[in-house]
Amino acid sequence: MGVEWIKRQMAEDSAWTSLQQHACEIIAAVIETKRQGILNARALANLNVAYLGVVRAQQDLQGLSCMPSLAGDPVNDAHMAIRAHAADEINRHVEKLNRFASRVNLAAHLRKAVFVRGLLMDLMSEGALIVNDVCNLEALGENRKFYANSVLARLIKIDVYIPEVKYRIKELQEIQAAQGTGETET
Amino acid sequence: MSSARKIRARMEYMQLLQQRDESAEGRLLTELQSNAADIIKAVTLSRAQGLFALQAWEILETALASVSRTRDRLRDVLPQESQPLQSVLPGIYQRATCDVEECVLAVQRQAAQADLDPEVVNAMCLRVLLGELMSFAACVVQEAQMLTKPGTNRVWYGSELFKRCIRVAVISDVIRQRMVQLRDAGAEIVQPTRRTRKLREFTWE
Repeated sequence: MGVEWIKRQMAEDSAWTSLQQHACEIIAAVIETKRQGILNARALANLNVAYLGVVRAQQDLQGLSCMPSLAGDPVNDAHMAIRAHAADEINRHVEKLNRFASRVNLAAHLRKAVFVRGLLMDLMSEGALIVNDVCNLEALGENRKFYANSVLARLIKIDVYIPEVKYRIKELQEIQAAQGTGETET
Repeated sequence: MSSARKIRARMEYMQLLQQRDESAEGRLLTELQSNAADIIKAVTLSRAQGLFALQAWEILETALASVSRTRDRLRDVLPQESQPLQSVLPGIYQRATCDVEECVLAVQRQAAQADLDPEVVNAMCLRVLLGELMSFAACVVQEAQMLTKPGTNRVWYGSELFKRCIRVAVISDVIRQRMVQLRDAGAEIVQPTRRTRKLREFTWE
């Protein structure tokens, strides 16, 4: 084992660990929204910081060729398919919720709040699954490529979810400002 | 739908949400997720700062103690059918112990090929065990999440959650034993402020 090989292994280890750290921060931020309400400013700021950390870790991993790189290949089929699938999932959430909400005649802002809550819970799940996938990837004898691809798919999903969460939360904040009410809790 | 029924349905829906989030179960599951996230945090910290970073061990010990406390409190609120019977508990512990031993053996087999010092092998085992612990903690977050979703099989996820917590307890015992062995062999618990060089020496070089 040469020194270069060891250095590279250490860099890879460090990048995967960093990804797990930031995925854990996503989990922690969502837990905080569960406790303090989905419009809690500190939890949302933490979520944003965690997301930026995830993006940086992803770039590091792609720089080290630990994960397939998507840079310079915007029409990559797999990438587009995963994005489309994530967007479909969001749409399915909306449809399901709309059906349910119209049955019980749920007020529009509550409907939105419930929807954002669902998205946040999904984000937490993805964070936990990233941590787990990286653990599997590092376990002896496991198929590293399979888990690296699985992590990438989850990162793409998070990338689709985060703007949606931000957009919906902005909507809720506007409703809240218009109503002059306290934080919307679900 | 008549307006009286609409109001009743709305009330029922709000009650459902309230029950889910504010019930003892909802709060305990969030607590458990938070403890599990602390375990993940501690393990990633120990990886980033070295196996013997004091800060990481403090977080880990606190989180592990909280997991067992929260698990005990969950017994009162999760469906009775999801909780392992006393008669099967020894089997679950045994299976968890076997899995941990297998994990250690796999590392030792690999280390034997490289002819490494016992302390280094022990440190490698510890690192792998911490990875396993983190993996279980991530599963706890996910399974607790599934329990809060309407329409999921609560008995199944409840039972998986309890088993996972048992695994966390078993693996953390093994980790503690190995920590003691390593300390006896001369490894030093490192303060976060003066950590880097000694840790690098111990964990990698």
